[in-house]
Amino acid sequence: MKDRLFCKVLENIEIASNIYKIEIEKVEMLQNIKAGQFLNIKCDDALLLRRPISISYVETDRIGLVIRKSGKGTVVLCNKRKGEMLDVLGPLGNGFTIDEKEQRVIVIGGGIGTAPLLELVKRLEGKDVTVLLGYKTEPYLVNEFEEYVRDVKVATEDGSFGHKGYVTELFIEAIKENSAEMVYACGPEIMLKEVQRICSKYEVKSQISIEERMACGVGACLVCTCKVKAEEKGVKYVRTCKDGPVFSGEEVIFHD
Amino acid sequence: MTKIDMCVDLNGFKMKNPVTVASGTFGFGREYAEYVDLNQIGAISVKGLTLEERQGNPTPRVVETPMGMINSVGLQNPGVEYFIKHELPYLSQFDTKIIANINGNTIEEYCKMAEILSKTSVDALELNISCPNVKSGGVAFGINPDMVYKVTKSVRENCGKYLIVKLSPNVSDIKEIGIAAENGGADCISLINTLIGMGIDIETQKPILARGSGGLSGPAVKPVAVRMVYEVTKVVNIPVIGMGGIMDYADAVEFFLAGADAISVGTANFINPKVTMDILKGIEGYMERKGYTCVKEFVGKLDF
Repeated sequence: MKDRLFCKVLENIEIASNIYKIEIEKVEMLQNIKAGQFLNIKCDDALLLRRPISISYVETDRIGLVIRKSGKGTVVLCNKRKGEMLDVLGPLGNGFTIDEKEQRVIVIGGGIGTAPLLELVKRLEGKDVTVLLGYKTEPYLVNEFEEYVRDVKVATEDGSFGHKGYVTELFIEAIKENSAEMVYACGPEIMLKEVQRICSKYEVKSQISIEERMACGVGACLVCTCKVKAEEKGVKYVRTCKDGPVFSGEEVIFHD
Repeated sequence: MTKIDMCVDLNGFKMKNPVTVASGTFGFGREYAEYVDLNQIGAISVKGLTLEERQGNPTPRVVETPMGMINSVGLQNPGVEYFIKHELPYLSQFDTKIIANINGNTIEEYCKMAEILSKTSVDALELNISCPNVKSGGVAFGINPDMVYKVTKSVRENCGKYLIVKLSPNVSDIKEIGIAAENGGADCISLINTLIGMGIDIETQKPILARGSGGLSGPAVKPVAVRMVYEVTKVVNIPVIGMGGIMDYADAVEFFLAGADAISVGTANFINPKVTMDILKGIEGYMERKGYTCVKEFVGKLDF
């Protein structure tokens, strides 16, 4: 039976301002991880609920998490030191689907949403991949993506690195130049909405990973629902944690 | 050494142990079956059911608070017929009692559901007159003793199953609500449901939950729950299932000492999917340490 897993923190470094790369021990039970899955982590005894953190990359002996220090939970996580133990549930969620037949793919990440795309890109080896990364000002993980993909482009909102503007502008260019059979995206809702619009306009299939506040992480509590299109009734609520976090771009209905 | 007997008998409702799981925190058992042997749980109160399918409230539906969480799910569920056809057969394969938690907008809806479910293999019905997250029905039935009496009595007449009434803590006097449920014909009382709470984002100056307020659960509500179990068990003669913020065996024992005949674990499942098993073992350890052979020996044993 599945259980909570206790994994040792192997490394924790701040790779950009308020962005931490935490590597944890890949204990034996943490097997068959798919790109796009997440861990539900108990940060601290003082914080009741677990925090869902996407898996950024998987190595033989370790799992990499890239976390933006923002709320109470991530502040505690980002302060974890080497040698401390993390209480994790996972891997959870559906993860990205990779179709062997699709050769040309575009991967778009915005901000901390770039994190789970790293493992995805590793697994897209052999395909014609374009990676587009967008940040407010300071980029991170770019070198890591470049290890696997030659065609990596960066956009920053203030122009401090790469294209000045939004990553979705790079996306339109990329799609016009060489359309794709599948688009993978993770990032802020405003970016995902735009990716959805562009994919629909250019008739490209997409898989997008969304974020929602969670509690149980296993599909029982129904707090993390996401609205999707349904055949009969028009809309239905599905569970981001169990049915997602990756959904087909065409089906997600974003908040207004 | 005498063998410890964990079985409890709540006036004819027999469970293999007094550790149950609370409605809304365990789905229909499927998700947690990967983590816990459902055969080891005394009873499972399923996700709150309504006559028709409900999509629930918009998100955000959850906010964490100091040692608690506020949820505003809004009774999202596939409806009673779907439950009977697709979830009940799955749950029935396990050797545990199944409690169907029912919710209505009107007394007629409660009665209709009781009638439908009485023809199935569920072991008990839990009348939820305490859900804080729906516009009509729910807690509206649970805050007035006359209404509690009326809805309990009506459901009783349409119910061939063991009937549990789940009380709302959002009342001025929980004792009279408990008495009303007993007089209405309840076989058992469960309490507490969540306390109505609210969280505000000071930057946007808006509530964090899409619906404004929601139900507070977790360790933060435990002292309130223990007090209410204590008060209610003093004035009613039917069994009580106590719940509210139970995280470990010690919390559970507090409820037994306060007078609960069984306990229910809710929010703690989210943090540790196996917590029910830890609590069960812990209660056994406590009994061994204190020399008890059955749970009844320390129910209501509060020395006060």
